[in-house]
Amino acid sequence: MTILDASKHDANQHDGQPGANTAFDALLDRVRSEFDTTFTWDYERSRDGLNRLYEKAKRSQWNVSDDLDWSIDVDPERAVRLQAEATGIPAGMPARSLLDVKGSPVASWDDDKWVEFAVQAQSASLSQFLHGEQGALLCTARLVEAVPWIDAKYYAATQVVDEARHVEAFGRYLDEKMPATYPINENLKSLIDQVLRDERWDLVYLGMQVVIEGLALAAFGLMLGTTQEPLLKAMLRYVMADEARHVAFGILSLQELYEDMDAAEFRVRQEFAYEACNMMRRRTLNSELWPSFGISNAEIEALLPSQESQQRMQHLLFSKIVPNCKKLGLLDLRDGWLRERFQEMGIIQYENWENTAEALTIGDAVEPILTDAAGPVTS
Amino acid sequence: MTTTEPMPTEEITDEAFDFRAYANDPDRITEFSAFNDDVTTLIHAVEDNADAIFTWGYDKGERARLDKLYEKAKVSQWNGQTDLDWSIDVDPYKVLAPADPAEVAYFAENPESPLYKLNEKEWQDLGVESMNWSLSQFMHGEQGALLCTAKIVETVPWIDAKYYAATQVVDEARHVEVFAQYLDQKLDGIKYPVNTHLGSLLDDIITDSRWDMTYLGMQIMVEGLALAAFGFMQQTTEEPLLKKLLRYVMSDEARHVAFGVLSLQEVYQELTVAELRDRQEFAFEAALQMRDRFMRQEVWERMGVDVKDMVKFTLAMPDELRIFQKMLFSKIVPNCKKLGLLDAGDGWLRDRFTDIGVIEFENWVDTADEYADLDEVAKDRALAEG
Repeated sequence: MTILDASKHDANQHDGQPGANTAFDALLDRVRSEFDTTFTWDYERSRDGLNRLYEKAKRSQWNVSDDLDWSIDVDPERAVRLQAEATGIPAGMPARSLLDVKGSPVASWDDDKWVEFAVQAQSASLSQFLHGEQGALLCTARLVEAVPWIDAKYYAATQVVDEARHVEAFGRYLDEKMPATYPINENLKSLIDQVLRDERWDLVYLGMQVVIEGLALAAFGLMLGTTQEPLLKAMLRYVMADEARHVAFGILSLQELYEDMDAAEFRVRQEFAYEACNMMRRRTLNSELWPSFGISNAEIEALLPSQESQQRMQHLLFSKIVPNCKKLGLLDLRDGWLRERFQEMGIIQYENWENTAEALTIGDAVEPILTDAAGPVTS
Repeated sequence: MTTTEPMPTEEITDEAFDFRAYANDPDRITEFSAFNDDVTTLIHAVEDNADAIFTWGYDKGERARLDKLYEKAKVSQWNGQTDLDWSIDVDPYKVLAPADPAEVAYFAENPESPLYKLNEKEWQDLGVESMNWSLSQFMHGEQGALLCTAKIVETVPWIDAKYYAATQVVDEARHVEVFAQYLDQKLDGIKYPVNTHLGSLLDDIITDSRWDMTYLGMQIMVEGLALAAFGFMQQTTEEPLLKKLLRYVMSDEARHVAFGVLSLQEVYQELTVAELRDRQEFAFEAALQMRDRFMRQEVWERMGVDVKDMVKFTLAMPDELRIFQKMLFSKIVPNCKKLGLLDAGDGWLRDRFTDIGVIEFENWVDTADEYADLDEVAKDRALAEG
């Protein structure tokens, strides 16, 4: 049995190689892929927007080892209490709203318990960021391989190294500063797998760059806006500066592609966007967290989604995705099919959000990057 | 694309098969059809069935030597636009690396040579074409490296290797960028499509779904040869922009080869003799394709020289003149030795490298030991800081 087994399909083994090793299965997760790697023989840098984004990315690199102060001591419990004090939002929200629900499994929890819960919830959120960044690392590598434009390959290459840096940063923070790391949320994993299994490279863009990264940008912003912990604050600011470029990359590339897409194909993208958003909505229930508190996910799923504070938080997470879907023309295609779905989800109010002052409070930086990318190329 | 028949190693015993004749068979070498049948085709798709792999083992530094390489790569980044002086004017007729006079004499003064009748102007043109061809192949090879390294990010199961490979992806993008810009701005454009042997090897590497084969093909063979070829050109060219461009690219390449050696050392320790034999055969086939690519058949086609005659005449070159062709293997052979590939099993790869006359490099320094010395970017920065 060798380490090479890690790379093999269960059903499609190479001759002369032994079968899969269950010891690795615990640590590794294989996603079967079939797609075309694409060489382009057109080396001309003809897409000015992507070109500018590439040049910007080159100058915006930072180093996790040197640019963050890892000597900062983090007391996660104290951080939770400080945050509650500073924001006036009690520890454990939005789940804490279940305190008022008759017969809820958390009805007896006191403030200390909620602080304990909030620490774990923070670990769980950061763990999902970590796994999501690894997903982004794999998806962006896929884009380098599959996208047929040289400018997009160049830019995506810088994003690969950005994503590696993000995995490194979140991984180190969890390892050195937090009490626990949680496994990947099944909805997040399922969306990333779906994207990696698909042979259509533009769905990698839509799923990863627009939906997952869009949601991440909003979630990072929410955390940045509330945490008082200086190391985490610095880390999130740096990560978000990169993420904003990534979302802009998705929009610039897909805008061009969608211009010439036929209606039937475009519809598939619209439905995919909706399905991806649905998966991401389910992920906000933190299903990986509750069992360790002796509470079943079924109980939480029955109670939490109807809580107003939960809905508000969930909606905020879509504040980046909706305007970007609008920009791509996905909202209004087919008599506004996706607009109606977003109405049902209660998130359509964000369609013009990027131009409002509110958007800036969660650290929006995509718009200036897009404006910049649309400008004349200067050397 | 059509390729030649694979080596019949299954049916015939090694003793009965003449590897030397196989390696030096002009028919085999020229049978490769042109890589791009239609030169106006802008996209070349290669099927890829490798699994993408998530690892939940996030322990950075578990593999200390890869971790060190990652940290080094982070601080050794450079910018193709701002770290090179693109204002330098280049006269293509003067950038030429002076060829080895003995080698030139072999082709110019021998009545049997297909180049015997070339006049002064044609020799000059040949030099310019060869330079364009070489840099075009470097550029296409770098694109292959870009795609292969992205594939390694997806398929390798170790977090330290994913991190390092990510830095290599952006290195390779930079290399494609600078070679393409040099060709475009200084050498009259990209005139040559990817060489048929190089293209075929790149396809083979991408099609193979075993992740260690991507390493062996790209990091050890293609990059190892590139490191030697860049070094040769860097030492011989007088053109300052190209010289610096190559110095910087080589600083990165040395890390890349080291990455391959460090990763595969660990993998190969656990392989069976039969699995190692697969790797040995892959390495030999790749070595042949890399050597064959330097037959420059696209240049002969363009110059109106008979390709097969040229291949035959090149293969017949006396051993003592074969300095450049041999030097191309000066990195590959010691690295294969370090990986244990030379002597695994019954030393099959040692025999093959003996057949093609490059075994003499086995005790040269391997790249895992020398990559830090090749960091020209760091040297320039230390100088600038005084």
